[in-house]
This record gives sequence, structure tokens and C-alpha cells, in this order.
Amino acid sequence: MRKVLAITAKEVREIWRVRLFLVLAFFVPFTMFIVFGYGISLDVEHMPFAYLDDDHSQLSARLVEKFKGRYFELQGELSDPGEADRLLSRGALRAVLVIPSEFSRNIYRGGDTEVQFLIDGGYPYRALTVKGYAQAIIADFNRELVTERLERAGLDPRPGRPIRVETRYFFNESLRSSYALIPGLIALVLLMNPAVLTALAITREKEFGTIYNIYSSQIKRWEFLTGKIIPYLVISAINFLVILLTVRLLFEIPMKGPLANLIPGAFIYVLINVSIGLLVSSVTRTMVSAQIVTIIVTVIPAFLYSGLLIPVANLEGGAKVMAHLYPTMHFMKIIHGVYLKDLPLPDLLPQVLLLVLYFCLLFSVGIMAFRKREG
Amino acid sequence: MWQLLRKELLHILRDRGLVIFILYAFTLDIHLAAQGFKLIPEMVSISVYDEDRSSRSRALVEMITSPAFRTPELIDDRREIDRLLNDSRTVLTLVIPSGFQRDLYRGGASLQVLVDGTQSTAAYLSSAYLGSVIERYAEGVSMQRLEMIRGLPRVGLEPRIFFNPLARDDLFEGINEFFMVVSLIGMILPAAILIREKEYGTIEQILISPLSIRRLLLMKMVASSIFLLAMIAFSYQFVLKLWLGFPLKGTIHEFLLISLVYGTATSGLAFIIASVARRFSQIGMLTIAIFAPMLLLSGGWVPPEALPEWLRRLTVVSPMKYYMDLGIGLLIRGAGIGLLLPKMLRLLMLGSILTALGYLLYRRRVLRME
Repeated sequence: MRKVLAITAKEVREIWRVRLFLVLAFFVPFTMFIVFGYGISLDVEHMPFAYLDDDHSQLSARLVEKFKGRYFELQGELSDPGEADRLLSRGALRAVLVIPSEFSRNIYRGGDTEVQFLIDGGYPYRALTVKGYAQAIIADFNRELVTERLERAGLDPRPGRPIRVETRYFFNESLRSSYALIPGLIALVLLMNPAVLTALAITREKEFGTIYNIYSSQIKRWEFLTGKIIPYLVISAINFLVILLTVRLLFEIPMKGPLANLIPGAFIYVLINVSIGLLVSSVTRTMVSAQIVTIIVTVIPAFLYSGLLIPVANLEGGAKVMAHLYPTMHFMKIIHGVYLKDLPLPDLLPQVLLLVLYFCLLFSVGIMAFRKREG
Repeated sequence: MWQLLRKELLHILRDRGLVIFILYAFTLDIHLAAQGFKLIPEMVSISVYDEDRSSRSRALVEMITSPAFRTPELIDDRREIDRLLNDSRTVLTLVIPSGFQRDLYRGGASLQVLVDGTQSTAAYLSSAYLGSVIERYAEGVSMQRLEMIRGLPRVGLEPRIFFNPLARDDLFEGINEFFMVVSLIGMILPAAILIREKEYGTIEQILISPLSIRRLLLMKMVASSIFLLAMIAFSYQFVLKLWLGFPLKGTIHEFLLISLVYGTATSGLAFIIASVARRFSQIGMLTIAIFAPMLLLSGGWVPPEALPEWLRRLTVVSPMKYYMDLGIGLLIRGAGIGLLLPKMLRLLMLGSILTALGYLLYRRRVLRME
């Protein structure tokens, strides 16, 4: 144990002396978190919107009125189609509603009429969401028109709206994407940072040649590696706390379950990623290649197979298997379980146990892969 | 002169790790991003709890088809719904209550759509897909019932998505990743070249040699620009156009011109990175530290309206913002180079400032010329 602590003390001193490294150990994960936190917000609200009304009737005004609300922010009326094109190209508007001159006449006559909805395709996800909003608004408008028509004709209005749909969003009642995405990012940051730092810590000794001191000393492999990773566990723990506070204070996202349910999972998850860093460092010689390999092996699975962006339920075949093989998806379940679902501890236990299993596996492989002899 | 350029180019090519990384970034990485980052859900997993078990409810379930949806999973137990939601095993659950068919004929049937809100990317669009399926179904029912009544009004919506009519996700993500790779490599490569002489200690040799240090630095920048532009051209032709099949507008020459202008900014940043970093291995971390905020302010991933006001104002200092605007203007929106000229000039100005700053810093910290 004394040997382990000696290694730890040496490592701490080394980290402390390279100030840049210290700054990067804390600054990089934090900025990444902020960038992605703002970056992958998928809430499509307050979209700058304008309309072009060639009809100028009571009905067209009523349609425009229906567009106002949480999703669209009315910027004003446009006078000619060229202006609409220009403003959409510049990104000043995200959508324009075009009402033709025959609009109200066609409706009073009881026929079909078309309105155009021009959408900026610069951000495809947003474009489709905006289209979805518009379709829902128009469908609602149609139901109103039919009901009024039937009532005026003295008929039963109910067949005009045969089905009422009640949509309920579970765990995230107001459907704020940030409520699910931003806590999910914790898994991303706690994945990359510990892995990269650990891989660097070992390859640094290789690159500087100081590893030979270790090779020739009596210290055992596990003692050296354990001592080496302790400072990075502490760094990750601090980062974890900072990020928890950021989630709460800056992004103002509440945690429904108790924090205590999150901590065991997070701790083991960091241990796993430190072990990934160990593994990478045993197959690479230089710090640069260690950095590159770690980023490639961690980031891609984290984005594609973690359930952060793409629901695992929608994956198929090989991709689904991959998702279950990477630890990130299991930790993501714990995060969502605590932040949104408020699942009791027994429901989270299978995930935690799986993570423990991963850790035991990866850490022992990591120790075995680290050899005191070269060649 | 040529000797110097040759030396620098050889230096780049001999650094096998760097070359492999650059090749990976310009090919496979872009392809992965284009194919992998799917924000727009396809083949949504859905389960149906059909309490009614009538011909009408079955007709509705049959309308839930691919490519928007997977084959619905039918469940017979209400408690199963909770289990599915808690495990996030399905994105949507449609509940058809008993009496659906009866109420449908009377008018006033109801359906429940339960959405897993933790699957935030898929939640809204999936429920919108399902909403439009139900809407179509309901319209069919109304039509049958109200046939006898002539002249019911109906407003149709004709949506037109500009610039990317099919709302292709891969196009957006692929191009974004491409710009990101150009920015990253545009900083890492020159920074690596600049720091190498310092790390190997050959910088002292050069300082005492009759070689003009300015000329050497210039050649370093020319060499890295040639390499970078070659990679951009390669990636544009073979990865974006051929492999991913993107319908790109504008010519490659115009795009290379824009990239060259952007190069002034990235090499300026590279000078700064090379002056601050002590060793080669620190370049990676420093680049990420500069790159992350630049990306946030670029308007690529994050549309400006999603940023808080004070951050939105800061976008004027992010060179990547200009590059993305120019690149997307040229490649996607098809704006001519004449229209883009004012923005290019502004980028050139920003780039010159960064280069001047970086050069001064490099002189002081690395060359120690006072």
C-alpha cells in the first residue's frame, strides 16, 4: 500500500508541475460540457416566422393567429415573395406562411385550398419539426372549419372530429430535450476525460523513458497502475461535482431521484474508463497516438450507441448488439433513471452490477496487458 | 526555396501517425458522422396495446408501417406498458381503449399516445409521425361519414423545405463534420510543424544559420497549406461526392479558394498554439480547448437562435462561423462567389489579425527575438 501511495504522490507532483495539463484536465471537460449542452439542445421553440397574406380576410388573419405561441415567434408580415426568399437564405427567418388570394373565397365555397409553408432547410431536424408543428396547426384549423360548417348546417358536428388523441410524454412532461440530453452528456464527459488522462499518464513515462525505472524496480504491476490512476479518479470526481452543479445551476435541470442513486454508478463508470485508458496505453507508445486512439475508441461509440442521440430501441441487428456491449448505454440508463424516471435503487441495480463486471474485466485485462518487459 | 518546401513536405509525410490520423479524419470519420448522427428518427419502435380488438382498430394498426415505423409490437397486458417505458424499450406506445370502434361511429373516439420523454431526439418527431398517421385515418373516417354532405372546406398544407428539400440529415451532418475536420486539422497540422523544430532542438541550428527565419516559416505554412488543400480536394471529390453522394453546388475551385482564406485564420491560431504548448503532446489538448468554443459559436451544430443573447454576439469573432456560412452558402445554397465576397473579405481580415498576433507571440516565446 505504501508503494501505491508513493506512486500517487509522484503522479500528483508531476501533474501539479505541468500547469497546462492541470488546466486542461479541468477546463476541457467543462467547456465540452457547455458546448454540447447548448449545442445539442433540440427544443425547437420561438422559431422566427413571418407570413405573406394575399387574401387579407378575417379567415386568413385567424389562421395566422393560430401560428402564434410557444413554437413560432411572429416577426411580421412580408410584402413580396422575393423578401421571403431573401430572409430565409440569410437565416433571419426559419419559416414563412404564404396565404393565396383565393383563400377565404375557396373556404366559403366549401372547396379545397392550399397554403404554402416555406421552411429553411439549413437544420434538417428543425425543418422537419417545424413542418410537424405546421401540419398539426393546419389539421386543427381544418377541424374547426368543418365543425363550424356542420353546426351552421344544423347537423351533428361530432363526425367532423372523429378521434381525439391524448399524447402524454412520460418522465419529461413538458418535453424539454435538454432534460434528457444534458444529464446524458455527463456520461460522455466522464467517458472521454478519464480515459484520455490515464492513457497520457502511462505513455508519458514511456515517452520520457522514466518507465524503465518502473520496469527495473520491485513494484508490482497492479501497485504501479493503481497508484497511477488514483489522481485521475480524484480529478474525475471533482469534474463530476462541477458538472452536476452546472446541470443544476446553469442549465436549471432538476434531478427527480436522489443523488445517492447516481454516485455508485458514476464511480464505477469512471473506473471503467480509466481502465480503458490503461488498455490503450499498453498498445501505444507515444502520447499523441494514445490521445488519438482513446478519442476514437471512446467518442464514436458514445455518440452512436449510447442512446444519447439515437434511442437504442430504434437500433437494429449489429448496432443493437454494439450498444449493449459498450458500458455507456448502461450508465445512460442509470442517469435517466435518476434524473428523469426516479427509479428506486433495486431497478438500477442490474445496471450497476453490469458496470462492476465490466470494470473487473477491463482492469484485469489492463493489468495483464501492461508488461514490464518489452518486445 | 524549393529545397525548403520539399523538406517541409517530406517532414509532414514522414510523420506516419499524423498522416494516418489526417487520412482517417478526412475519410472514415466524415462518413461515420454522416451515417451515424441521425437526429431524425427512422424505423421508430412502437408498441400497441389494443383493448378494443375490433376491425377498425386493426385497420389503424395496419397503417403504422415502415419506413417511419417498425412493425408494431402488440402487448396484451396493461402492466407491460410501464415495464416497457421504465426500460426505454420502446419510444411510443399507442393505447386503443375498448369501445374505440363504437365511439368512432358516434364521433368522439379517443386514443392515447404514450411517449418516452427520455428519448428526447426521437420523442417529438416520432409522435408527430404517429399523429399524421392517425390524422389520415380520421380523415378517412370523416369522409365516409360525411360523404352525403357536399362542399366541406379543407385547407391543404404545401410545405417546401429550402436548400435541402428532403431534409437529409446525412447531408447536414456530413458537411458539418467536414468543416470541423478542416478546422481541426487546419490548426493541428501547422502547429505540429511549428513545434517540431522546437522539440527536436533544430530551431537553434536554424537561428544561427544564414537562412531567413521568415522565409522558413513561410515555407512551413505553404507546405501545410498545400497538404491541407490537397486533402480537402480529395475529401470533397471522393468522400463527399462519390462515397456519400452529396448533391453539392459550386465548383471545387471556389471551395478551395474559400478554404485558403480560412487557412489564414487557422494558421494564425496554430501559431498561438505552438507558442503556448511546450511539447508536441500538448497540441492536441490545446487545440480541443480552442476548438470547442469556436464550434459552439460557429452556427454549425447550434443555430444562433438557440444561444443566449450574449453568446450570440460573440459569434463575430469565431472564424469558423464565417467559414461555415461561406461553405454552406456555396455548397448547399448555391450562392455565387460574387455574393460571398464581402464575407470572404471579413474572414480574410480576421485571419490576418490572428496570423499577425500569432506570429508576434511565436517570435517572442519560441524564437526569443526581441
